[in-house]
Amino acid sequence: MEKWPADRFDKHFIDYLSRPEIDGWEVRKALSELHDFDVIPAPKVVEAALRACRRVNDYSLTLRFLEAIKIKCGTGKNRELVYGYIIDQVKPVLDELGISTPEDLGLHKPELFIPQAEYWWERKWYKEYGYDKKPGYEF
Amino acid sequence: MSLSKSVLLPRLAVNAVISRAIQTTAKAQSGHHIEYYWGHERAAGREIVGHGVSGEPTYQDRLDYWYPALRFRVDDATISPLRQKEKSDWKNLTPEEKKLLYRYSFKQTLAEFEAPNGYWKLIASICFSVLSLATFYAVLLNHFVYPAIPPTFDNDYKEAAVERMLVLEKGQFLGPAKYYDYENNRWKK
Repeated sequence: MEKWPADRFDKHFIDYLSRPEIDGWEVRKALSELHDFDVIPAPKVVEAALRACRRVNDYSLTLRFLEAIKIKCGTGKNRELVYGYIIDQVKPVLDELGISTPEDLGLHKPELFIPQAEYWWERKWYKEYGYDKKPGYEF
Repeated sequence: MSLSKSVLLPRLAVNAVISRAIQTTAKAQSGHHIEYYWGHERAAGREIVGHGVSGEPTYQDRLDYWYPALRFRVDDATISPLRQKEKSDWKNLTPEEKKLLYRYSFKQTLAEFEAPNGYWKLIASICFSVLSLATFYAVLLNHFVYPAIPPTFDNDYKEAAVERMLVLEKGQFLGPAKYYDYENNRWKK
C-alpha cells in the first residue's frame, strides 16, 4: 500500500473516515494505520479525520491526532514548517468545529512531570504521590 | 478419553474379572493449566476505545502506536458531565475543560513524552565513579604491589638491540636489515 499514488492513498483514508456510521474504534484503527506509513497526512485527510472525530464525539482524539502529525514531521525545523503549513490549510475546519490546537491550550510545552516508576525518585515525590504512609515506605 | 486396560492390553485382561470397561469421566490429562488473565483487572473499569498495540486492554504511550487501547482514567463524576457536553458543539468547551478531557484520555502529551528527564546525570555519575574507582585501584597496584620490570623494556635498550641486529644480521632478507640502507648509513625511505 505504500506504493500507491498519492491521490489513491488519500482517497482510501478519506473514504473510510467519511463514513457516517463510523465508530470510535474504527477512527482509531484508521488513524493508527495512517500513522504506520512514512507519510505526513495531506490536509484533505486531516480534515476528514477531524470530522470523523467530531462524529464520534471525542475531542481529545483530535488533539492526539494533531500531535501525531507533529510526530510524523520529525524534529525541529521540519515541524515548524510542515506542521504550520498543515494547520494553516486546515484552519477553516478547526474554526468550524471549534477545535483548539495544542499550541492554543498550552500543551505544546511540557505541563506535568510524571516520574518513571522503575527509576530513582526524590524524597518529596513519595509524599506527593501518597506513598509515604504505606507499609514499607516509611523513612 | 482414554481406553480401558482390557482393550489396550488384551492378553492381560482376565475374563473372569470385569474391570471397568467404560470410562465415564472424560478428563484430558495434561500438565498445562491456563493462567488467570489479569488484563481486565488491570484495565480497572477504564473504557476500551481501540486496538492499541496488541489488542490487549493495556495503556501505553509509544511513538509508533500513538492511540492506546484504553482511556487513561476511569470515568468518574468530574468527567461524565463533560462527556455529555462534548457531544454538543465544541465551541462551548472552555480551554480548561478541553485540557481535562485530554488528561482523562491520555497520560502524557507529546511534549511531555519527548521531554528530557534528567536521569542521564544519575547514570553518567555512576558510570564515571565506577571507572574512577577502577583507575584508582589500578594506580595503587602499579605503585605499591607489582615488582620492578626488567631493563629490557627501556627505550635505550630496545634501540641498542636493533643496532646489534643491524650489525649481526647484515644481508638477511628479514628483520631490520631489510629496511636499512648500508651504503648511506641510514634507514631506507
